[in-house]
Amino acid sequence: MRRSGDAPSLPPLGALLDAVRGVTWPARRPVHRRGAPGTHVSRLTGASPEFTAYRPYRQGDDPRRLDWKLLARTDRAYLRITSDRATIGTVFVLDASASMAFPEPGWDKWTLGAQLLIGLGAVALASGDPVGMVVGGAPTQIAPPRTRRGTIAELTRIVRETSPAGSAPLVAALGRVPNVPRVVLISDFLGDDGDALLRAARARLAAGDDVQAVHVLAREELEPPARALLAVDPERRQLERALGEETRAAYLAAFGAWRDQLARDWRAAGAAVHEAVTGEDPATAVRRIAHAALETAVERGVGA
Amino acid sequence: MTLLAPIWLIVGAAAALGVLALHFIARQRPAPMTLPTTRFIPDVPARAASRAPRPTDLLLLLLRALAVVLLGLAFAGPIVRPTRAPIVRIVMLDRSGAVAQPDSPAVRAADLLRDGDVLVAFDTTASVVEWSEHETIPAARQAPADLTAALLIALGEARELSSRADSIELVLISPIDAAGWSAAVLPVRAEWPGGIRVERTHAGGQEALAHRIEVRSEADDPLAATVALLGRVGAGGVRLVRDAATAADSAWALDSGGALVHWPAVVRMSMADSTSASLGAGAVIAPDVVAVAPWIRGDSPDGRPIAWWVDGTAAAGESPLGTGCVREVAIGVPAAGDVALSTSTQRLLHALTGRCGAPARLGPVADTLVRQLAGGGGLVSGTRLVRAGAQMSPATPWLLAAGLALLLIEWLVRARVVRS
Repeated sequence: MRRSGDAPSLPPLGALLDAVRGVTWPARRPVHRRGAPGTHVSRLTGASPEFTAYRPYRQGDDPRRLDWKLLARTDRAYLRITSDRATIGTVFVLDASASMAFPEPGWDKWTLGAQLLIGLGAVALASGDPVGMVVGGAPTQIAPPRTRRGTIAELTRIVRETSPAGSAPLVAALGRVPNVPRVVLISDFLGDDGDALLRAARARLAAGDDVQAVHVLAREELEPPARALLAVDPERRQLERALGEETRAAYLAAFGAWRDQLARDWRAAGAAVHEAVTGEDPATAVRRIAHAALETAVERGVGA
Repeated sequence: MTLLAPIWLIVGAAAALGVLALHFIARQRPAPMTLPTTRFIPDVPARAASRAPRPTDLLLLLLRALAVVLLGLAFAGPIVRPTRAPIVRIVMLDRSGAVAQPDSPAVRAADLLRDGDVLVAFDTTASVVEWSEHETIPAARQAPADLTAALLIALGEARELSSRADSIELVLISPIDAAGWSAAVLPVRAEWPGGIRVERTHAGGQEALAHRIEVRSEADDPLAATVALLGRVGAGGVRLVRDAATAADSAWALDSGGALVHWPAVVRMSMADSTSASLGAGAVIAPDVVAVAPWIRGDSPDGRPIAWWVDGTAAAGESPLGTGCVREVAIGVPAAGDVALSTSTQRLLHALTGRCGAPARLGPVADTLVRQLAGGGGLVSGTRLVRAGAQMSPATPWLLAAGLALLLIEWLVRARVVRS
C-alpha cells in the first residue's frame, strides 16, 4: 500500500449512499453476544418489550423476570420470554495489494471494493451497527468500529488516501481485526496467503463470527483482450506469460476452476461468498450481498 | 531515366513487399500488459506469433522497405540518358593500297555517314573519326590493309556507342583483298552479333602496282617467262635480279621501299644437295605453297628465312634494307624443261616476290569467306552490346551508400526498440 497523490480519485459517493438507503443487512445467524440494543436477532432472551412466550419458572431463574401479574391472577409462576435485539459490530478488511490496482488507469477493482465498503458500511451504520475497517497493506490502516456520525466520512477519507500497492499478506490485516461479530473481506484473493487467510477465517467462524468474503473481479480478468499480449503479474513482475489464441482457453478454464474452488472452500468453512465484477453498479452489488444475508437468515429461521 | 538492369528493381520491390508481409506475421514479443491473474496462463514461451491487423513497428518497416528498394535501385543502375539516336552507323573504309580507285569508296562512305556516325579508316592501322559535316576522310596510303584491326576497332566503337544508339550498323567498304585477310578475321567477326553490310570495291591500284616485277635477266631466262605468265611484268615494287646485284639495286630498295629479289640464274650446288642428289627432285616450302621440282639446291642464304627446303634448311632469306628489303634465293631453276612454267613455280615465284615483311598474297578473297564475313542478321540493338557489369550507373555508389546507411539506422532503431 502506498500513499499516492496521482491515484485515481474515488467517484462521488452521494448517489451510492442514496441508492442503498433503506437496505437492511441482517446477521446471517443470531447474535450470540450481548451488546447495545439493535436490530439484529440475538441468541439471548432478554428484557426487550417484544414478547415471545411464557416459560414455567425453574429454580435458578432470575426472579426479576417473573411475570408477577400472571402469578397474581393464576398463582402460577411463569417467566416472560422476550426476544433480544442487538447490534452487530462489522469490520471491513479491504485488500490494498497491487493486484487491486487493476485495470489501469482507473483501478476499477480498487474503486469497486471501496464502493462496496462504503455502501455496506452505510447500510450497517444505518442499522446502528458499529462499523470499522482495516486496510491491508504496509502499514495497515485501522479504523475501529464506531457508530457515530461521520464514520462513513472517516472510512471514505482513509480509502481516498490509500493507493493499492505491494503484496502485503491479507491475513495480517485480518489478524488486526478487533473482536466483532461480522467481518467482511473485500479482496481479489490473489495473494500468496490464500490458505493462511482461509485458516484465519475458519478460526473466526469457529468462534461464532460471521465472515463474508466479497471476491472482486475485473472484467478484463474474466474476458482478457483477444489480441496477443504479454501478461505481467503486478505483484511479481518477473512472472510473464504470453496470452494468445493458444493459451486463452486454458487460461479461462484455469481461472474459472480456481474461482469455483475458492468459493467452495470458503463456503465449506461457513463463510458467505459473493462475487462483484467491475463495471456493475456498486449499489446493486450491495443490495445483492444484503439480500443474500437476508435469505440465509430466513432459511435459518432467524428472521429480520 | 532508364535502368541498366530493371530486374533488380523488381527484386527490390518484391523484397520490400516481403518485409511488409513479415511485419504482419512476424513472430514477436507481444505488448506487455499488467494482469493480476497471470499465474493462470499456461507457461509457454513468451515470444509468440501474432498477426497484427496493421503492420507493427512502422518506423522499422519504413527503414527496411526503403533500404531494400534503394539497394534494388542501385543494382538496377538508373541512368539519365540524352536522346538516343535510332541508328548509328560505323563505316569501315579501306584506305590501303589494295583499293583500285580510292576516291570512289571515299565518296560512298561520305554518302553513308551522317552526324554522329563513326568512320574507321584503316590500312595496317585504323583511325577513328566521329563524323560530322566538317570532317574529311583520311587519304589513302600505300600500306596494305589489315581487316582484323579494323574489325576490332569497330567492335570497340560499337560498344562505346551502345549507350546512345538504339541500333548500330556496321558497314565495310573494301575490296577485301587477300593481303588484308588473316585467320583472325572470322573469329573476330563472330564477336559481332549482327550482320555486316559489305560493299566490295575494285581491287588493284597501288598495291597491285607495288607488286609488279621488274626483271633483269638473260633473254631466255626461265623465271622471266614465269613472271610474264603471272602478268606482273613491269616497273613496280619488286625487282628480280638474275645476275649479280649491284649497289644501284640496293639503293633502289633502300629508297623506294621495294623488294630486291636476288635469285641467281646459276646456283652453285651446295654440299648438302650433293649428298641428296640421288633423290632426283626437291621440295621447297613457302607460305601457302609447296613446290616440288628438280630444283638445284644452293647454299643457305642470309637473313630471315622465308622459304625452306623440305629438311628445314632455309631456301630463301630476307634482310631489311631501309624501308625495303633484299631477298636472297638459293633455289636453282632448271633451264631445261618446263619447270618454270608449272603452277607450283608460279606460286613459288609469287610467294617470294611479295612485299617486304610479309608473304605476298594477292587477289580477292573468295566469295564464301566474304559471305561469312557479312553474316546474317541486321542491325544490332544497343542494349545487346552492354555486357553485364560492363556499365555502371554513376548513381549506383550513392544508392548503395544510402541503402547501407538506412540499414545501419535500422539496426540502431531496432536495438533501441529491443532495449525499451
